[in-house]
Amino acid sequence: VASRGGLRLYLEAFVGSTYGRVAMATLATIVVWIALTIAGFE
Amino acid sequence: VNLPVAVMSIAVAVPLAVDVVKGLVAKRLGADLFGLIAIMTAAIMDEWLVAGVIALMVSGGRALEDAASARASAVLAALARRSPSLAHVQLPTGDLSDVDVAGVKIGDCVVVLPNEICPVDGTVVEGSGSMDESYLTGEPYVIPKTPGSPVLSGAINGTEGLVIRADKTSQDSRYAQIVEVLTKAEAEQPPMRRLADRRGAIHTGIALVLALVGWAISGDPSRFLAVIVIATPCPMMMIGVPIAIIGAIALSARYGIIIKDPSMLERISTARTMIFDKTGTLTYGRPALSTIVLGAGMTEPELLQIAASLSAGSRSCGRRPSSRRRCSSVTAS
Repeated sequence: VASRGGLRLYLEAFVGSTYGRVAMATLATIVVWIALTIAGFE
Repeated sequence: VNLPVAVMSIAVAVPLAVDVVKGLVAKRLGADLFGLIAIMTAAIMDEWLVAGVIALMVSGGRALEDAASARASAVLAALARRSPSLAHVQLPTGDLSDVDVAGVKIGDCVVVLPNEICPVDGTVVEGSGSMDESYLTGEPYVIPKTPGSPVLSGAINGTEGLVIRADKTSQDSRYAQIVEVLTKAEAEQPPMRRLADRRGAIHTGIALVLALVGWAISGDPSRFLAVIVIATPCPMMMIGVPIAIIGAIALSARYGIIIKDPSMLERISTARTMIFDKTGTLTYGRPALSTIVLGAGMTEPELLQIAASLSAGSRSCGRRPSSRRRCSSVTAS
């Protein structure tokens, strides 16, 4: 535990839990949404 | 374009709704209720980006919180994994039979092989050796065991095999009791409470009233959504607190401090007294010689020889091999 850096703890928190994976998927979806909206898709 | 964001928002909203209902049944109003209202309002008004951003904040905060909470139960899982599961029971014929540790009866003769974990509390009836009970008692001594010596379940046997008579069943033995006490303590621990949860009812009530007033005065439902979204305590409380807690765990780990229960971090400001179980907590339980300061006219070999001679008849942890690694060539006299 002592050798784990802070960033790794955050990554483990997101990769290792259902809510974390949902959060990452939501973030990716929002990014795609913004890109498609900027590109002019309705 | 809205469909993927809608799907993700609903994916977060459904488990959130379940938690909110559970909270309401327990008469608890928390920040989750606000997150749910915000996502639902945004969905009804077809504002899917708003719903998505709230869903991202809720799920991100939950993920960090779950990760922090999981660390507390990891300690218990490690203890449970270490608990002995098999015992070598000596039959009247002298043969050994491996049985489940729960099947050991009081009075059974059990053979504890070298380096094995003692399965039940008992008394040594045959063999001489030693056991490391530091895991159970915190004392850094290896305890010599001879016929008649009591032994504890969970102790690690030394390099000699011992035959013990079971004085207790595994369920009543020391190790099972320790695991039981820890399990109970964990079940009774209050969960991490977010700042917004503590404000709970007052915050929720005031914000809902303000949002409804805004909607009523303007006649525009988007005003209701705007107030609810702003009042949703996402950035600071839902995500800020778990980030601070994970940060504290990581920083503590860097200094060699293991935090078993992160919810303690929220209550530590109210602590007035600290009680330390020194061995294995503030110390490693394995003393080591770090520096030798010589007096006038004394050489290092002389000093080590005197120290070794003085400690020869002592049970002190200072005479353990690890503390004398630099004294390998010293002969006690």
